[in-house]
Formats: sequence, structure tokens, C-alpha cells
Amino acid sequence: MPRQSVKRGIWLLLVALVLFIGVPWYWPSDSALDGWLVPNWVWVSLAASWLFAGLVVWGALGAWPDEDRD
Amino acid sequence: MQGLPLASWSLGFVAVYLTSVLAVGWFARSRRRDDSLSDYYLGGRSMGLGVLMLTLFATQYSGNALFGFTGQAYRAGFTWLSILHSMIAVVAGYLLFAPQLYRLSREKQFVTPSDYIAFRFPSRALGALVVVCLMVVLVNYVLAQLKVMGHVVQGLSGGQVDGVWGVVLLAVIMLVYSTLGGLRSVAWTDAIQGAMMLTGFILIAVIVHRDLGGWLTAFSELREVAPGKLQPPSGRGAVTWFSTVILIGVGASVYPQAIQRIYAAGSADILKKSLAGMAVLPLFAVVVVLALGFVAIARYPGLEGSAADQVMVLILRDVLATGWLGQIVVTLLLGAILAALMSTADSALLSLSAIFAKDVYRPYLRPGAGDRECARAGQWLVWSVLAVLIWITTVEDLTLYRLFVLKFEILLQVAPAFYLGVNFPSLQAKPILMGLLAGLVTAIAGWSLGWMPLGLHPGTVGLVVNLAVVAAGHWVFPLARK
Repeated sequence: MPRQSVKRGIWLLLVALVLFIGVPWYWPSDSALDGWLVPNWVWVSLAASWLFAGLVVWGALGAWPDEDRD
Repeated sequence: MQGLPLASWSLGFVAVYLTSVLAVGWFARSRRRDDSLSDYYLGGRSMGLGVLMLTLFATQYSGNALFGFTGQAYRAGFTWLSILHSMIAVVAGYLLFAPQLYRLSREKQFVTPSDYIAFRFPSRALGALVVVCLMVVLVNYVLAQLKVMGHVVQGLSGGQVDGVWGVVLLAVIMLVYSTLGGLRSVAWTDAIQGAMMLTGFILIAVIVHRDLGGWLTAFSELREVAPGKLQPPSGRGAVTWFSTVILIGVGASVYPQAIQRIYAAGSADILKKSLAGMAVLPLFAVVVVLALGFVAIARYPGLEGSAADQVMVLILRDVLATGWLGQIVVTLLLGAILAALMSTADSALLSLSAIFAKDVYRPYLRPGAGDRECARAGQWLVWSVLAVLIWITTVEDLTLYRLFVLKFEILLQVAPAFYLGVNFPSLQAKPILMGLLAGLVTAIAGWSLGWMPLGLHPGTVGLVVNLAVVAAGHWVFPLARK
């Protein structure tokens, strides 16, 4: 598989992961994880947006999508 | 609402700014190389890094960003953080098709987004449908900007000046400089406007911290006044969040005016560096605008519906009351607000002009017409459309956010033609056309009925239907591949 395709795949997976983390899917419940996430959800989402922007910069400058570079 | 007691020099500054953009338009005209559509609508395909990044920024961050985003942050609270992810997603969306599209545009000399569609999918029906969708979206987009212009003039003058006269003045100035120099003058004025907007965002952040009690105090007050607006969204709300990211991220990446800027980039390297810069800007620009909306929840309670879109004007009034420094800051911000409104509207108008000239006038109305005649026809259309839209702004009463969403419902259905077109060479026109039709019917019907199944926007549901039809047409029914 061309190196560029592998990079594209990794990039897309990471973007999907960060997008998923950025969405506050959680809601108050008895679980310890939700107990921490709910009051801190804004910070989690903001951190995810920073990661997302970083991924896009990496994508623009290196990983994606110019197959001519292979 | 009371007007802003602006000093006469503040109004003088605005006058100088408006005169300067006219001067830029005149200068851009003197730099035109020929009468070709490519030179007029794409600035000779020679845009440098700074201008490209600032014009993309100024085009994406419009009156919606300053007034609609702030108003929605006020109404929805922190769940509107989804817009931050959405604006970054727009750039991620570009990466999935823009570099390949750029290469093709150089090779085949595309001028409008529909040129690519015509090249990639030689179907007259698909081409015509895409042109109609893009023109509807652009008209909608300009209408939203005009409505904000009316709000701004009316809000800033405390209702003493009829918003429509402010709209007429700004519209005429936009038309003059964009008619004079085409994309060259629009992009140059965008660069000035983008720089003013960035300065404006910095000043807002500083002034709120310095003179309006500070960000942390404002958030503490918010916790007491409206604790519900600090809560994460419900399960359905989380789905809406995700849907918003898809709706705006994918939809805005195929703005016709943005695609034309992709064509206009001086090189592939310049394009990629501009996109990298665009990915970082929301972390500052969007966060500041949202924070203003959040601060306003505690500071100006009780605003509902479209009244919340006036939050920015209320903040400016308070900043003005802080003294001479406030006067300077508000003057600069006034320039930035006008810049935001004009930079988005002028780009949409120019794109509308290009699509009409290249994709409607020449193929359907005057086959064989020269470039100069086509460009002139596009200019006439824009002047006429603008006159009608100004009239509509006086009778319509939709909140800004609703206007903002409607265009994405349509754009989202056009996106697969670009995204899939550049990435799947074996895909044919028929599945794309059927998918587009199915998506449009679903999205527009859902939007009209106010339908949001599971919290998904009608446009997102339309996209799912659209992609399912494309996949079925491509893989399940082999006849479609012929």
C-alpha cells in the first residue's frame, strides 16, 4: 500500500476520533467517569478542538492528501 | 434600544474606511491584465499566501460570525461550542478535495465550481441542478448579510436611521469596487477586512477583560444566573452537536466563493499553507465571539429570538461608556463589523455573478458570447438581485441562525459531487444526480416541516439519504456504471 494512503488512513481515523471525543455524549450518571466528565465537559471539548486543529495543520502540511508526493 | 453616542471622528473613520475600499477597487481595475473571465473572476490565478488566507478568513467569518454566532451562544449556552469544531471541520473538509481540485482547475482552466462538475460528470441535468443549488445558496447568503447590515445600522443609531438606508449605502459601495476589479479587488479588500476583523477580535477580548469585569467574573455570574446553559447537551443534543459539525463542516467547504478562491491560489503550496492557517484561526476568533455571547447571558438577561442577535450592539454600547479608550475601540470594531459584513457579501455576489455569466448566460441565453459580455451580464444580474434582496430585508423576519442553517441544508447535498468526484474516479453522473435529488427533497421537506429525527438536522438526514442513493446506484445497480 502506498505510504501516502497509509498516512491518509491514519489521518482520517485520528480526525474521526477527535471529532467523537469533542462531542459531549455523556450526561450525569453514577459512573465515576461521567462524574468527572460532566463538570469538565467544556474543557474536554476545548482540548479536543485544539487537537482537531493540530491534526488539520498536520494534514495540510504533510499527511493529506497529495498523492503526487508518493 | 438607545443609539451609540459615537463621536464625529468615529464616523469620519468609517467614511475613510469606506472610501479606501473604493480606492482599492479602482486600483485593482488598473491591474487587470485582460478582459477574460479568468482574470476578472479569479484575479489571474495568482493569489499569494497572505491575501489567500485573509480572504478565506474574511469570507468564512461573516456577519453571521459576529452577530449570529454571538446570538446563538446567548440562546443555546455552551452547547454552541459545537460551532468551534464545525469551523475547524470546514478546513478538514477542504483537505479531502481541494488540492486535487486545484490541480484540475489549473489543467482545465475552471472558473466556476460548476465547471468542475461539467468536466467530471458530463450530465446536463446534473450541471443545471448544481448551478440552481449554488445560486439559491448564494442569494440566501447575501440576504443574511444584508439583514445583519440592517440590524447593525439600526442598532448603532438606536433606530434613528432606517436600516434599509445603511444597507443601500454599503451595497452600492460593495458593488462599485467588486464591479471595478472583480476578484482582485474583492480579495484585496477582503485582506484589509480580514486584518481589521482579527484586530477587532483581539480588542474585544482585551476590553471585556479590562473594562467589563473580566471573563472569569462573567462566567461566575453566568453560573448563578443561568446554570442550565453550562450543562452538556442531552443525548439528543449531543446528536445535534455532531450533526452541526457535519452540516457546517462539509457544507461550508463547498461554498462557491471558497471554491473559486481554491482555483485562484498562486500555487498548490500556497493553498495548503493557507488551509493550515485557516485551521488555527477558529481557536481564537470563534472562541472570542462565543465568549461574548456567554458573557451577555448574565449581563443582558431576557433577550429572546432575533433580539439576541443584537447582543454585540449592547456590548459595544457598554464598551463605549468606559471612556475615550472605549470610543477608540468601538470605532475600530465598527470598522471590523462593516468589514465582516462586506467581505462575505461581496464574495458571494461575485461568485453569483460568475456562475450566472459562465453557467447560465453563455450556455443558455447567449451561446458564443464573449468573456467581456458575459462578465457584464453577471454584473447586471448582481445589481438586480441586490435590489430585490434589499426590498426583501424590509419584509422578512427570520432569525439569522435560521437563514444560516438553510443554506447548509442545500450545500450539504452538493458536497458529494465534489468530495466523491475527486476521490472515486469510477463514479458516474447518474448516481450523483439521483443522490442529489433525493438529498434535496429530504432536506428541504424536513426543513419546511421543522423535522429533526433523533436531533439530526434535515440536511444531515438528506446527506445520509444522498450517500445511500449514490452507493446503491454505484455498487448495487451495475447499469448505472455504464
